[in-house]
Amino acid sequence: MQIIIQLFISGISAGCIYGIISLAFTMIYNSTKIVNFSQGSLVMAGAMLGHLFLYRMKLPGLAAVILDIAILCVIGLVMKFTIYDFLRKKNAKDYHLVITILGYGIVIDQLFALFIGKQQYSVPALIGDGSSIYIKALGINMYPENLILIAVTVALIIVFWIFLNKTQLGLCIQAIGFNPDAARLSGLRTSMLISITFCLSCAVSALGGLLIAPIMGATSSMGASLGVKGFAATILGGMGNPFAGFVGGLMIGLIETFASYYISSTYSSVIAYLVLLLMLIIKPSGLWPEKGDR
Amino acid sequence: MLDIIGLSAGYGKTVVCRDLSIHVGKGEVVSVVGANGAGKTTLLNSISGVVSKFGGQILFNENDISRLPPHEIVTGGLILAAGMESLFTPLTVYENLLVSLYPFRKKFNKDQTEQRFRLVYDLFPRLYERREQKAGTLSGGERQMLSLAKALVTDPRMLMLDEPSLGLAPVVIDELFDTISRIAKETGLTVLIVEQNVDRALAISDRGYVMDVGKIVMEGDAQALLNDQKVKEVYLGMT
Repeated sequence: MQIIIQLFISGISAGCIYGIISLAFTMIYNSTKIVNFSQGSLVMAGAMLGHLFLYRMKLPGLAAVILDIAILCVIGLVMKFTIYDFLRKKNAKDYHLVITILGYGIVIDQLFALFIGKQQYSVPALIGDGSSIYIKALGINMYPENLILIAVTVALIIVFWIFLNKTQLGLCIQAIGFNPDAARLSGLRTSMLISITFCLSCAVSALGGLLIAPIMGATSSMGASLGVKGFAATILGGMGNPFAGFVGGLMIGLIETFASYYISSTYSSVIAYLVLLLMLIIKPSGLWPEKGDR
Repeated sequence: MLDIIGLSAGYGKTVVCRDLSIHVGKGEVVSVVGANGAGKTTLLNSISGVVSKFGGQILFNENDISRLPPHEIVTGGLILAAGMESLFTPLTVYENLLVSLYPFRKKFNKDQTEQRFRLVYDLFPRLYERREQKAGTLSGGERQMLSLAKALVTDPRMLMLDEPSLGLAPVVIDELFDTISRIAKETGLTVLIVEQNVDRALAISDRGYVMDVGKIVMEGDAQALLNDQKVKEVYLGMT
């Protein structure tokens, strides 16, 4: 029983990692209908900057969080500027934008490998002294960084769901994704609103990196697999909805964790992807299909 | 109120509208009629700032707006109801109107916003009944109403309509044009309508322009154009 609870909690915590990456995908997707394939690299950047600020420079937690978010927002705005104010104005097609985004991912990965290093680095948790706490009621040990990851992820998912669906600004952001021409004719400053979504996505990526790193460390090459699993979570849950991506993330996290214990840790990812493949065959639109128009 | 002087506009290097001059006075209802492909929609889109202009001037209340970005034209009070295709179909009727009000969030306080909603719901009771429904589930007539409501909710000084009759059954067209005519008469709103449905558009207009392959070929009193056989036979291919 204890093992099941322990596995369940690790699964949820892994799921939260994918859920938070999925949320970052969702923000940009909602305003642009474009999947930011460099998302994993942005989370990696958040984690590596966490190592730089918290471990090497020993900055206080809050300062590290703010600096991390600020630097990622700058990277995000540079990406947005090239994609929307430069390529789109030259009538670039969506696939041109996607390959540009992929290129950005590679550049970000390599820059961090060059300037910070290629090893696996440790990042101290934002709270706690690194020792686990014993939860008597369940009879298990837990690290505070797992708890904080779960709490922050759930909070972010709720806040962004409300923001997107219940506030005027959130609805405008969705409106741009649904019908960009009509949004401009309605007087929305589409370019500025898209910049806002890039910043929000980057802030989520920064937080994600800072929360993930104490659990799995930080390496310059961690982005690719994080991005793919976060994207898988998004597809499993359904595009465009923060809550759906979170549930998709939890499913992948739980399947992976249980599969690695009961079947084989080597094949845990394979099993997670098999479930995704099965899901795509049965219900390609995900558990909660994207809001359709008819 | 709106003076277009020698406007040329188009897409990329293709010129669609050539040297157009159109005048719309305050409180007037003016129609630009023409066959499919005459460049009518391009004309409206270039006034709205979403299609590039190659030359000419657009004066709105004596101010040159030809170089302004779309959002400044809208907040200046000149708005386009672009028809059924201009809706955010996955959002509800209420959310669609809320998005239209976003650029005016500083202009209207809470009470005024509520008042704007009440006003459009009074004009279109059907939209009030369906306010929680997704725009994509509305019928053609209701979609045109919502497109109109999205423009009117912002309290514009001048309204432009792009083919309000497009894709509607004749009886629904009658109802819609009655509503447009009533709004114009009751509020004194200035309206520029672009239409293929010549008879209906000219019937509710004060003056009209006939457009053919990107140029204005005739202009005059709406009634006179309506009775002119040449308009229909030569430019609109009707008999």
